Amino acid sequence: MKGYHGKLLEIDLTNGNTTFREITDEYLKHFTGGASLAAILLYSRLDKDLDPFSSNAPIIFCTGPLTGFSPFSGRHVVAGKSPLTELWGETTMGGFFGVELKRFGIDALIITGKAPKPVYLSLKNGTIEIKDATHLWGKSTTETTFSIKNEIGKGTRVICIGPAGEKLVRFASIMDEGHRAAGRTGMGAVMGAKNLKGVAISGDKGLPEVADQRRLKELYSATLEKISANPGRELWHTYGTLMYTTQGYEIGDTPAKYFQEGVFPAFKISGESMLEKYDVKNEGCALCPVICGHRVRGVKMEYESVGALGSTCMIFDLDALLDATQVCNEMGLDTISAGVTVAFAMYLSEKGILKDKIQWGDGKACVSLLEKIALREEIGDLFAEGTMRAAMKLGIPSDEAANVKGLEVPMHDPRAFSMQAISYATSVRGACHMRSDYFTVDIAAAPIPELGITPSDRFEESEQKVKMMVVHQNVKEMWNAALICMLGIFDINDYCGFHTVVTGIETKPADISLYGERSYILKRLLNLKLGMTKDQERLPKVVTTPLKRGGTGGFSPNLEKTLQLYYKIRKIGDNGYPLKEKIEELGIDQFI
Amino acid sequence: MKAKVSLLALQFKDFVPPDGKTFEIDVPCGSRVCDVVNLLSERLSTNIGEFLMSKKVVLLFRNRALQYEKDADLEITDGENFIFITPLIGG
Ligand code: SF4
Repeated sequence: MKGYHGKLLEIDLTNGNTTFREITDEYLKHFTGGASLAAILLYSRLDKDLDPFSSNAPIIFCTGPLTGFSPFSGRHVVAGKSPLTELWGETTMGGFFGVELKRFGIDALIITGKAPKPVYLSLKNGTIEIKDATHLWGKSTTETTFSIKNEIGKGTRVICIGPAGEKLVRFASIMDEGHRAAGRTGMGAVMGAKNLKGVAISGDKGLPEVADQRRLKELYSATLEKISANPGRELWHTYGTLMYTTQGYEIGDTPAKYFQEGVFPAFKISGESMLEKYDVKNEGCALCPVICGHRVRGVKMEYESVGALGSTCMIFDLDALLDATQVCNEMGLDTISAGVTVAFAMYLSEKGILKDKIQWGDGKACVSLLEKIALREEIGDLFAEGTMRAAMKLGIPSDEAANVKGLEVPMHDPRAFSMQAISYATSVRGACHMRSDYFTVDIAAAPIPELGITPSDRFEESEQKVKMMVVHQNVKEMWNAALICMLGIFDINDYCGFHTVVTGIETKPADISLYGERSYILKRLLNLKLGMTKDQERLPKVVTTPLKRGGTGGFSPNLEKTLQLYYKIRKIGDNGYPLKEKIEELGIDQFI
Repeated sequence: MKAKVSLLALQFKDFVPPDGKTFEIDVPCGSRVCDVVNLLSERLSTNIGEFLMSKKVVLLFRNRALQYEKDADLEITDGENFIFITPLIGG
């Protein structure tokens, strides 16, 4: 099929076998690429009893149909069984690896087995080598990236894990060139369990054929022109996600003190404060005309890290916040789960449940705990398990552990937007702010009027609003299949245009929702196969108890009501399974 | 009566100090949304209404993003919040 190579590479690290296999057009037509392709390719290999750390557990890296062909298409997805949730795990990352993966001549790379000693993979100009990484074991993500590049040569793109992945920390991340992270769901630990320190890639096969090269060229130029004329481009370039902290604070979206406080000095950790105080350098991903990433004092910073390691831990000292983020980036920890877990430790310490004293706002204690988590030392060994397991081990009620299905709640408070709450409860990977990021609709940042998704009262919980949320969730599923950056200035019509000229399949906004719905239902079926129950689709009380002060205005989402509406709209039965008619209507039954 | 204003949009960053973006202003009884916007425009010497019409800035009022062209005449009550933001996403 046009836009894809229709090929995957599988590498078994136990015996070093490598196999190229076809990906059928039927898969690509129904599920497209990225996270949806990953789910269908791994569907039959994952089950409830599979240990995500066992050698049988596969990990997959996929690109999307537009990878390399459109602006904002420099992403790829990493997926498998999550060690954090023991359900479907997927995490996408920007940077440069994705485009090289596609240029290597494949749409997916599956890695199985376990190497007898630490290794990294070198995929260069058609050759596949499993190289010794004993000398890299224990090294930070930046050191590892530089060392591999030195060994393999310039022009190579590298992703790798840090010590946290090696030590099987359940929320270990994978870093791309030391600045973009595949943070969520612990895929770094799955690599660690395979003794796989990194993957270096340099593709010489080039991109696959597209349906209409001439129209693609024209569309690309026109889209670039449109983006440079957009006044948001300059602001996004200057501030990136860091601009959101003060805005998020005012509407109660930015959590503080482990989701228990609504009033705090947000301006101290705002993007403006960082720009004023430090040397800030922009850093972007492949094929990005915006370049929204920022290194502040040399540390890659994003809003989610600011919220998780800053306000959630009551750390308002910028240097301390940067130090904590640097530890996460270098050790390979997901900043969201790490920050929420440290805040959980502070909360337990305040209650006298922990012997170790870790006080709110203590930046040094935060850094020290992060290092211990990454190395699984002392008390860090407990918190390396994430909030869900740490709470279980300590006998703390699950309502006090800020996660959904094991994935820590990100930095968009579910009391600030009613649909963010239901999105956390029902997302395919636990509490995820990107599947869907409905708050962006209600602040009029990214409505999708083409599909009837328009801003309304942020606390509304009507059937109409849940319907909009379901369609929005579908669209975001498709965005993760397409692997287009969600922060890009690229709307659904742009996507449809590129998808049409690349694949030759005439694509309309309604098709995007349909692809996304198929993807959502497929992953839901996969999660049910892995043991998910409907009871897990809930939020812990710590993130729903009304706040007395701050921008949420005391709102608490009525999940009981919205979930009922959600199940009705999605045609999900009492047992949590989608109704047979829905599975057949989407044509999923023929594939699983 | 009072209106609580938060000028968080980046477009206004040079007009307000980082720790003083939220403040109260006095407005006459019976004021409408556009009266608050006009008052602020005068104070900042910039046409905030234009930013709102072009959607470069969004006004969050009564928990929703206003469509300024439709909602400018909404009558306000004492103590209501006016939050001006730049509608870029914060992932
Ligand atoms: S907008 Fe930011 S995150 Fe997205 S592709 Fe560009 S640099 Fe990467």
